[in-house]
Amino acid sequence: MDIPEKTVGKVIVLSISGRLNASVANDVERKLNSLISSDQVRLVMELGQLEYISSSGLRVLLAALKMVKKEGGDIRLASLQTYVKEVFDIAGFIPLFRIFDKEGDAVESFE
Amino acid sequence: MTSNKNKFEVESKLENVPAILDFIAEKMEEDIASEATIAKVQLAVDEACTNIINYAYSGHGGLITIICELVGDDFVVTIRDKGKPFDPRMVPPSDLESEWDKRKVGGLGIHLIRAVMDDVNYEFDAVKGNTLIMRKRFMRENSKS
Repeated sequence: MDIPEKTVGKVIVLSISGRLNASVANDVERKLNSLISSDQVRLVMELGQLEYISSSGLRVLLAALKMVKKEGGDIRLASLQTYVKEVFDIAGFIPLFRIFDKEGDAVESFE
Repeated sequence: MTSNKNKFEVESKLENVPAILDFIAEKMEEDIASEATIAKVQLAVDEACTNIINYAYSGHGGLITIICELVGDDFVVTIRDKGKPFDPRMVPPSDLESEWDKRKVGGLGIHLIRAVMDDVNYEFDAVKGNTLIMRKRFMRENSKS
């Protein structure tokens, strides 16, 4: 899975698109683990093109959130589509993440 | 990979999940379900098949059979496998409220299935293996008489 990445100041922005389920969760996990292991713990996930997330995707996001928070960082989310937000809600994930309508706001929230 | 009108059979592999989800969408579109309803059924089928692939067959392979039917206003998906018995009704409720540091990683699949479907049933038979039957009620926007 192609995961576009960009650096904005001290924040890394990752864009995840399509379906985030068990078929691709390992790719996202590897990407997050490699960033976190190189001390990149201020992350924004831009999800405007994410159509769908399953429990495998949620598992990867929570595991990464725990790692970055222990290092004083955070994972903040931007531009969630309605259905993805609904799955976050069903899973009780809304209170775990700071969620922004716009990527820029999520990035600025780290300052 | 074989399919007839309402039945789809695939090898138990994660890379086959997208084809299973496309089959569900195709069947539900015939019955004029809304996109939101299709997405929910796809999520439930994705979770069920991922469990079969990773746990029932433990990654060793086998066949997964998916059957879609319209029964009254219910879209009914039946999923069969011959892996280890697994009754999703025995899975305890997930923790949805703890703070991030106390929240358990994983184990939300069955919770999502229960949340998005209207009814979930399970049968085990020594010969037929596992059968999971999931129902989703929907209003047809256009009656196909």
